Amino acid sequence: MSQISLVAKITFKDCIRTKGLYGIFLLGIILFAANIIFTGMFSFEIGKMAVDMGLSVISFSGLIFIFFFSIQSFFNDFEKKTIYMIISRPISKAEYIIGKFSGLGLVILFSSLVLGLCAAISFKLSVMGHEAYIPQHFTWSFFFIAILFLTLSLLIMLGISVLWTCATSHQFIGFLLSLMTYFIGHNMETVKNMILSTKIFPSDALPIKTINLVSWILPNLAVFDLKTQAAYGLMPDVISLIWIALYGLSYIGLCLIISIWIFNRRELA
Amino acid sequence: MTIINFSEISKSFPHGFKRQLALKNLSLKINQGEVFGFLGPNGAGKSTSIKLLLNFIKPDSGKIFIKDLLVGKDNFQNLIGYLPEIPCFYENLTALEILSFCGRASNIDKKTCKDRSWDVLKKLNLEHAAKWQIRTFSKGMKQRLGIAAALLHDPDIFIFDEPMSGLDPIGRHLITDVILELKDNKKTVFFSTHILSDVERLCDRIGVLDKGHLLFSGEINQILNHGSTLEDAFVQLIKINQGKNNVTN
Repeated sequence: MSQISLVAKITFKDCIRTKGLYGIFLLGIILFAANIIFTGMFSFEIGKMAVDMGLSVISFSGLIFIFFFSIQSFFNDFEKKTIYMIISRPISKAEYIIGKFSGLGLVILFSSLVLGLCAAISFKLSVMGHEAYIPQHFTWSFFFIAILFLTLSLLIMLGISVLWTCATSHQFIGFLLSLMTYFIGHNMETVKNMILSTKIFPSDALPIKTINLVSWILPNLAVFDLKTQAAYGLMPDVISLIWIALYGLSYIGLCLIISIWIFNRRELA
Repeated sequence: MTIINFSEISKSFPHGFKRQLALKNLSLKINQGEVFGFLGPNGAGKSTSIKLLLNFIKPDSGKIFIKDLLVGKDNFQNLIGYLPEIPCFYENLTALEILSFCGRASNIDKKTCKDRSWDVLKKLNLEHAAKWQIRTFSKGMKQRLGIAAALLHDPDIFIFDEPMSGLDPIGRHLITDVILELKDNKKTVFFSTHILSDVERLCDRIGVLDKGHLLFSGEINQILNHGSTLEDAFVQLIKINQGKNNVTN
């Protein structure tokens, strides 16, 4: 455990001091400022727009971090051989993977915390003087639960990018596969529902079975997107939230187990 | 007493659709307390041997033992201080943070780690840069920090991959002094190099490797049977081996 926390600590410190990360935060803050300006243009949906944009900015910043920093950080370890500094100590490859994931995950948690507070402030400022347009059932607790689930979906994407990084030997391929998984994960539920609603195929037809199988293998990221519910204050029941959280955590665990399995077989030449 | 034992190690790497041989039946023993220099031209297999020794890569066949521990099965990392050919660190961390990580990972307690970090930084003339981020370091400073990290947990065995590469004469002198001090303290040092003058000054025994074959292993005066100087003898050995390979091909 201590070896994992050591790797996590240096990864977190190294990332948090990266100048590019400040750029992401700056971009986030600019988008929040834009949020205050633009939501005023949607006179009847100010509350909904403010929540929607606020959560989208957190998601966007998190994804930039994963695609451009996390994947690069892993590949730098392999290409610049920084990993030798770690693996030549009594640290196993499994501890390295979990430590690295934890360090990068901490950066995502930190960024969600900072940008989440910015989103809350920008929401507050956007609806100031327009209190009548705040959805009737809106609650701050559900707003922050939505941020929590958004962060969980980012951690799943981080787990997936770790997996693709371990499985491929080139940074661009790792990036491309992670990006594809993100798009499929976000749209799969919609595509599945669309095909099922057309009733072209019977429920036991091969295309339906294939879609069901793929929807189990690839992450269903759409279930973590609670933006609309948060904006209208339509809180799902607690049991389904617990199931979604368990699904997310299991998916991360599975990604890490497969990553470790692959990485243990990889030569660090 | 043998402290490092390469036993019939072979290793090849994928090269297109074929596999290219990097080491063939390497058997080599390094004794406790000796400074062993590993010589060879570029691509001879020196770094591959070191990577195998540290379990970064796995051999196709054969076994490597460090003391009685089997590399790839047992935990041996705490016995070793390793300096890579080009030491790379997390660039946004300070030298002290790097050493703190290395020491704590090698199971040194926090206070001892802090004290030892300052000691090794002082020894390698890096005391002034202790709180600088690594990205501000020159190549030579990184090399010295790499040595500091290897010395930190006071292991019995040191493995240095081209320790003098990229260093200015003062840096080389400093590293030479460190190796001589380790020799005085009866530590085992296994290092690869191209610089023959360093070998003559530092090594008790040497090994000469070319195209994955160990051509010679023994004391320096024994290799002088092949030439009047170490350089002559080294060149002769390599030429003879390349002649053999050409005949075989």
